[in-house]
Amino acid sequence: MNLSGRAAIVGAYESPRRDAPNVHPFAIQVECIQAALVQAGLTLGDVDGLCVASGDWAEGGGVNSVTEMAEYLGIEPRWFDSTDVGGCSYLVHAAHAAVAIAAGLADVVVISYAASPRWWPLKTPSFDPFVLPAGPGQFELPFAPTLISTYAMYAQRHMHLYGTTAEQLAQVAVTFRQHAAENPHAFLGRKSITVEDVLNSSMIASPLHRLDCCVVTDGGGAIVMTSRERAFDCRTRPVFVSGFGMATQRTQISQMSRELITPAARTGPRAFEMAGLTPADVDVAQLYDAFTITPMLALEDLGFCPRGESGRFVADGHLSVGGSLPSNTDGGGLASNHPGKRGLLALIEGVRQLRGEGPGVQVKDAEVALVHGLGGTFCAAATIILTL
Amino acid sequence: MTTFSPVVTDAMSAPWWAALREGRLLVQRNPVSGACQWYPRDHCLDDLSIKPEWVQVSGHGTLFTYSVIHRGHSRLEAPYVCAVVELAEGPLMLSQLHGIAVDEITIGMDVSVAFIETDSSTSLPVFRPRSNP
Repeated sequence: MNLSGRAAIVGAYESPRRDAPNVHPFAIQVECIQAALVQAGLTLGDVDGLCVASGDWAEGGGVNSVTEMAEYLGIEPRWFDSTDVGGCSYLVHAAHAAVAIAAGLADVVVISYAASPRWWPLKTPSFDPFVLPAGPGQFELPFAPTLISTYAMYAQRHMHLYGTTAEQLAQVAVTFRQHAAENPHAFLGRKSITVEDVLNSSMIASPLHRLDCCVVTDGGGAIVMTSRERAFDCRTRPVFVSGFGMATQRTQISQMSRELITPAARTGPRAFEMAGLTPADVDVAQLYDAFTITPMLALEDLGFCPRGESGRFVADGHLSVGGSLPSNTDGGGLASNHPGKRGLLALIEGVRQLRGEGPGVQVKDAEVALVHGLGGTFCAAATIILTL
Repeated sequence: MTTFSPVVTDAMSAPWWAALREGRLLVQRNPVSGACQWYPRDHCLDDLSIKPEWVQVSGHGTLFTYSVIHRGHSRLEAPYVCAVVELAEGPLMLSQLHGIAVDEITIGMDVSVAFIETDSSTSLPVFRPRSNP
């Protein structure tokens, strides 16, 4: 079955909230779902597919979050998915939804996400949110790695192998902060930063400083998808899912790739092949940026620069508007919005860029957008290519 | 040193924890192919039908990567160093690096295992610079 372009995104809404004291994440989800449906000219009664993964810390749901959210909304979807592989879960949902829509299993699918980590009162059950102190995790948790430190160990190795510098890492944060300056909703849009600011911010887990890390926000978003045919009856200009790829790789740190290859090395080629496009065709990219090292490895694995050269690529200004690959045009997770699993928000920004509605910097006449997300510390990944 | 997280051992992992209390570091090996694997499982990664055997390693390795953690677990004194060590026998292992000033750490340096008691019944394998490699 040829899946390219069979499904379209007809609603894409990101909550302007960044700080929502005492607002339950389910309430934010419903706000976003409603707004995304209004965009599309659809109603809740049209929705027969639902994708949520809201069982993680500060997301408000339990292990059966898809039934909880369907109940909270008051719908009984005939098709649903609650795949949870961390931050890229919602890109996986969009890929799964594209398949379901092409197969006739669902007509209108809602994908939604929200989290409220800024006020969430319950403690996370373990120190590393991805690992339990039983089974495989018993061999790692006693050494007290933090989530940030696991990314930091990739960055440290990258610096050793390729001569990547802290200044190059910092340039990622500086560039996306520049984009956030144009976005009225960006959490850190009002204050520009320099490379020196990043290097002078406190060290969290070497080589990553505080400003190498994403913001922590309350917020969420929702996407509405339907078939290519039905999309033309909707109120918005359809944005088509032209290609996608998904991959898992590992969880425990000891299983990390010796070559620092992430699952993006498999998701990118799959997505490009389905779309019939190459990296050179991409007008704008949204690259998951939990930490500055995160999008850098994606640039290499997705084929935008040779392996080991992401530091130079970033420092040369390629990610800025006017560069070869304008990226994270809303300010990304580093400067705009990162409630915990940013993938859906990156997808929304990809859609906004193709519609010409980017709230930050807008790439003129963008026709091909790439959205790349990962989950855990490069444990899983998903890439989606959007076209008009 | 205090260490975060009491762990839940199980039938498969018990021999590994027991060996640590005797100052021995074990990994697993496929008795047919000879391939070493870490972390421990009930099966061999290169052949699901074969049960791995425990084998004591030299405790020598090189530093594969690390991070000096300044904002870490509240029960540990910051900074502390998490490290991935490439064991001489092949596998990568997450541990901590002890006994070195943080500005003297270099990836690729020779390290060797040391055992630290975290409580009366638990010993953990950490790594220190190897003085006479």
